[in-house]
Amino acid sequence: MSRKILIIDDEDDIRQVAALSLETIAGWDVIVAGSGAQGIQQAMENLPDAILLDVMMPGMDGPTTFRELQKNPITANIPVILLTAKVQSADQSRFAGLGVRAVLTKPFDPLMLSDQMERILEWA
Amino acid sequence: MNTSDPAPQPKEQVDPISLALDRLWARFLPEIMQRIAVIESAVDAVDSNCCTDDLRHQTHLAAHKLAGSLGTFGLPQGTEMARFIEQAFAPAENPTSADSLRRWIKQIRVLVENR
Repeated sequence: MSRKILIIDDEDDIRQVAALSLETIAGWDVIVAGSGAQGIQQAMENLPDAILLDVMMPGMDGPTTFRELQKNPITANIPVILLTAKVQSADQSRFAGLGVRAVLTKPFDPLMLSDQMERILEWA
Repeated sequence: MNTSDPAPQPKEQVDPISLALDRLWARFLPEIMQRIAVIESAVDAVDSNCCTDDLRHQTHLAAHKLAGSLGTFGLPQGTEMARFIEQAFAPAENPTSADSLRRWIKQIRVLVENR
């Protein structure tokens, strides 16, 4: 079953590698956004099945973007997986309190990303 | 030549993911090299005891981005060393010794240039 995933990350290389991975290995449709604001807009327009959301972004960071998505009834029920650097994993308790579905650490293995997401989202 | 041997498959049919990742690597290599250059400048500045707050911030950011991408492109050792550099240039830190920093960024450069 094809899924639609929205990737929100300010780093173009991460967006491209994640998109390549999910499109090629899992066959999912992928939309990308380079900022929290763009991501919110894309989420409202495209209603993805899940969102992969970077934590550290300039302007609106990941947690703030997530809270905005939650405020909007159109996007509130879209499962969100945070993507964060390893050094920030000490903040996991903070992220857990947000209500995201899971937190994945960077760097991710492009060959395993879709499997990890399927397990988290219970799509397997 | 043994004409009964099967013709070798083009690489594109064997490992399309790796090839696509290699193409992305080539595309983003200039940006990665630029991040390395920023860190190298900062290390020189630390050595000269003239590293500004702005350069420390830029270096922290460059190291953070390297840490996030190098492992994704199959260079986990690069990620580990970039993390050390990222932590050394974290906002609350003020690195005064360039020795370890120089060693780490040199190793990162070698890894990147030989990928």
